[in-house]
Amino acid sequence: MSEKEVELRLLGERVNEPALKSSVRILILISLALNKHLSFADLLELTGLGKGSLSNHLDKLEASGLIKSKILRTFGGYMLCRITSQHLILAAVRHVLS
Amino acid sequence: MSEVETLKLLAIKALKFQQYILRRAWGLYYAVWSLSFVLWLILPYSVSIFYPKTGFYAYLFAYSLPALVGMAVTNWIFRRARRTIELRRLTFGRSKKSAASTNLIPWLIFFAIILSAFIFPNVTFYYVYSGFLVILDYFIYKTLRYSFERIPVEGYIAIATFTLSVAITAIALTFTKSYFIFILGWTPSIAGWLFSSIYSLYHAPESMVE
Repeated sequence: MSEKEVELRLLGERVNEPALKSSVRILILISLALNKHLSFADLLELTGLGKGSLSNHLDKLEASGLIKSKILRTFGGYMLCRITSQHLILAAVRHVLS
Repeated sequence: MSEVETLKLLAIKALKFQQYILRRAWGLYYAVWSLSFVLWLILPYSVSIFYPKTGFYAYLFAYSLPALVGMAVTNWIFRRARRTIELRRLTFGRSKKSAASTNLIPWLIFFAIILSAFIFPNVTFYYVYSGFLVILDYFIYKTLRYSFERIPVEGYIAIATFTLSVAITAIALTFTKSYFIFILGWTPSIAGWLFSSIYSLYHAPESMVE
């Protein structure tokens, strides 16, 4: 099975996940796919949501295994989100838009 | 609204945000290279003054450390830019024609350098060295063009000062072989890229509202 076929099969399996039912979460995933990592502050800028609402969306994405977040030890703490399925999301966007 | 239209709208929003992220990343890029230019000029000179008996490896370290740091940042930013270009192409359906010409021009410059090195064999090394700097200059310009829909003002400053430094380096190495002129030639780049870095980091949020 070619790499593309594997990607599309994985995509097909995940497309009905509740985590992918919100446009905000898809926007977060596209941006993370482009940048690999983004901070919580960056995601607030991107979505224009409040902190609580954004946290809820991130929790859902993390629960589905699409992203991972960690708190970096800085003054005041710094939350960084990392995408775990970068190639899959980029393949999905490529597939829908092309 | 169809699935494709929704995704297109989201992609447009992500691309807008990407202008801000890339401008900030370029700000960091200018800062790292500005520091690398300084280290490039200072480290080997310091080694020769303070540790005159150190061997080849100390010089190799002094020359390659700034380059390695700079290249790591270059790789980091260019990977982001490449993914952004792909999404922009998918969203707006731009052709790949310009990408082909991008690949051709550095090769033309490269062969022009090799050819001129044969014509002027006594200055071969300096021609090749300066030539690679010209290619790098062109590469930076092209990547800036792909990263942004309109190159920001600090991008033009960075390109202009780097071009000036490359020209002075070429003249210094080919005609005078003066280390002083060589160092003098890189001061516009150090100052220009440092300014570009500060300007870019300061004005990056404006990209979100443009």
